[in-house]
Amino acid sequence: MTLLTILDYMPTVQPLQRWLLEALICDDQQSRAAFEKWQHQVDFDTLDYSSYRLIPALFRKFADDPLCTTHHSRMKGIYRYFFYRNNMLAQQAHQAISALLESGIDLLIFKGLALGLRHYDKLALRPMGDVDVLIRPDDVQPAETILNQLGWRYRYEAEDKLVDWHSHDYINDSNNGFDLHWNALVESGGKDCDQAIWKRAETMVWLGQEVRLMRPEDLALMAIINGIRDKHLLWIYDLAVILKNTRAFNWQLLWEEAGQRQLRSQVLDALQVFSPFLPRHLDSRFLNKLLDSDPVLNHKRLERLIKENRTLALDADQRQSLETAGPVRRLTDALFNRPSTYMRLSSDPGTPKHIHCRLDNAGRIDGLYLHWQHLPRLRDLVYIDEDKLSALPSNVSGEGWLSIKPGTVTIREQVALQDYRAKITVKSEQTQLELSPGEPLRLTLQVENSSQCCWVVNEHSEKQYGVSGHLLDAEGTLLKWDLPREYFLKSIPAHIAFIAPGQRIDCRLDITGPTEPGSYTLQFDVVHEKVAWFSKRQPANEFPKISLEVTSNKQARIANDLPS
Amino acid sequence: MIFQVNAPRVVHETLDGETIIIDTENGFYYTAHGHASAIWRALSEGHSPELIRSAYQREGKQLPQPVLDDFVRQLGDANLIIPAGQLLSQSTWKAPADGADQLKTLEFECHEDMQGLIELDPIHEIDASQGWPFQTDETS
Repeated sequence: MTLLTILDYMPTVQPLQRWLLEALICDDQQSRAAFEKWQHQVDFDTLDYSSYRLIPALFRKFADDPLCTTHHSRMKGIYRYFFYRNNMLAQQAHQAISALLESGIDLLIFKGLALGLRHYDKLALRPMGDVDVLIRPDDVQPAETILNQLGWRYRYEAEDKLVDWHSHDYINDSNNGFDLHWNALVESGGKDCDQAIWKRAETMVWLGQEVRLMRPEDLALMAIINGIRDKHLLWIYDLAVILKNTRAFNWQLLWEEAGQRQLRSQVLDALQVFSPFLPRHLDSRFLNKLLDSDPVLNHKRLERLIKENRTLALDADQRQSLETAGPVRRLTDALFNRPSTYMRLSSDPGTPKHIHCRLDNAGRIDGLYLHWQHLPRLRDLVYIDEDKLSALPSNVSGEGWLSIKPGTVTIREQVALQDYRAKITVKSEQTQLELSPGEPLRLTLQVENSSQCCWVVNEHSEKQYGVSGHLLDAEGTLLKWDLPREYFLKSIPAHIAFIAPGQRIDCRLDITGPTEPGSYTLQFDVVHEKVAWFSKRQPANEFPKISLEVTSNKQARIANDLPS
Repeated sequence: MIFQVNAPRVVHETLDGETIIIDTENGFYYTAHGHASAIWRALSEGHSPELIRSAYQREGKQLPQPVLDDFVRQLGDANLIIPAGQLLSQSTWKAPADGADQLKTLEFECHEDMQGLIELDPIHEIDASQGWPFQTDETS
């Protein structure tokens, strides 16, 4: 049995998207069959953004195919559009990149432009909205001055710049974008975190200018992490193109870099989604080998699955593997009714819990796999037709299948809750913090569901629960409401995820020092995405605030103003 | 006379019988279809107008001198091609055999106001029978 089952970072690949990707990536026969299915089913008026960005490559591949008739003109138009847009963008970016290099600013091209120049046959095939370059953190200010002189201005409101984590985005009069990154990924900050990427960068001559690009393995890592964060699917095709165009792709290098950045779990999930498209490059045996090469990750995955009650697929050996005591201890534990490690983990109240839903051919629930401790909560999680349901079992322990007569139990619609109440506790030990402008910081928080309602997220739902913050100045005037979220209750395919009243969930929140020195206040909040901010439903002063002072010399103190 | 594409200022690509040409300096967008597309490719590969005209004659087609001259002049006036300093192509060129025997015009279009067109949604705000950059009646 494999532990390659944690996919909560991943956007789901819908059937139409899968056919589109198969048409682009797979070998001839399978590719054409997939294209035929896709073009029969697709409705261009409701085409999703991920698919839209794959159309240029699809048109390039199938323009002359007799199958490509129904949507030929629209696809051709999208190809023309990106041919124009990408070339105009690239030309303007080339001017900016040349100016930066001539002034002695070292830079690496990555993401769309690097892929378009180095791996795709034509720039038009890789839609991009902006150009991304990585510069040294110390070069941000001089680079911005040069961009300003060339007509690029900061894209957003000035106050947004305060909370840019890893890059500033610029735009010019043609609405083309140019992003200056001082860290390649928002997920991993710090002055030296990109050092290895800088060292192994490749060079090429682009329109007479020698430029540096990230090497294929690093571009692949960037594609994966950006893709799964932004929930698009272009990364799948990017990765396929990189693999097909790179002789001896160095997986070890990618895996090491992901390890340095603590991103292996996300990478593993992504590769699992990717592998069916190019099984010759990447099969499940290889993925298991990657997982086995990291015992800590392996152990963490197992522990997390058990804690979250996502244990349907675990075999007996895996259930036993976390028991550290010897057979005698296990026997005495059993005699004295002491909980095993498995039992202790599975009843841990510090994580969201899950119930697996099995559907019949008509898409109706015909079985639930659950830890029986959750039976009393079942009516809070799903609609139950009491007339049709035979009595729920009682006095059962452990876990197992609850057979359901189809139509008896249905997924509960996620509407606003009757009661929004949460308590946030800042658990980070450091109470006197110092931040430099742009310095990243990871805070550990605990969020308690202090309401009477279960927080529930169904599969494919965007209405996830997360912790976030608002940035205020020292006088309490709001500077920026929406800071990045960290979702602690996420949608997971084939599962109902929930946090019961009284449960306390440990989570983290990554913040960054505003780029302008000054005095600020950060107020934490909980969001039910697309539905409500908790601070609008319960007294805002119940949410903790941290007043912080950001200075470039780090001498200022940050006072902790947590409610008791 | 031999010409070459005014690169890197000008980028071009031929796909599905249509050549797209962009002047990245002023943002103008050009398309050439049919024989115009074929002749653009011949010119961009370094074949002289004289050679191109002879190639049409070999296929039994009339490409009147004024039609070809006018086309080449348009391309030059738009700075899409410039005189080449040296012979770029040694290969022969074969004119397309299809189409009318008498070529009266060469299909060549220019879109100058691209700012508005690039802001269009290329799925919902265009004429679905032609694709971007052709707008629907409501958006044009």
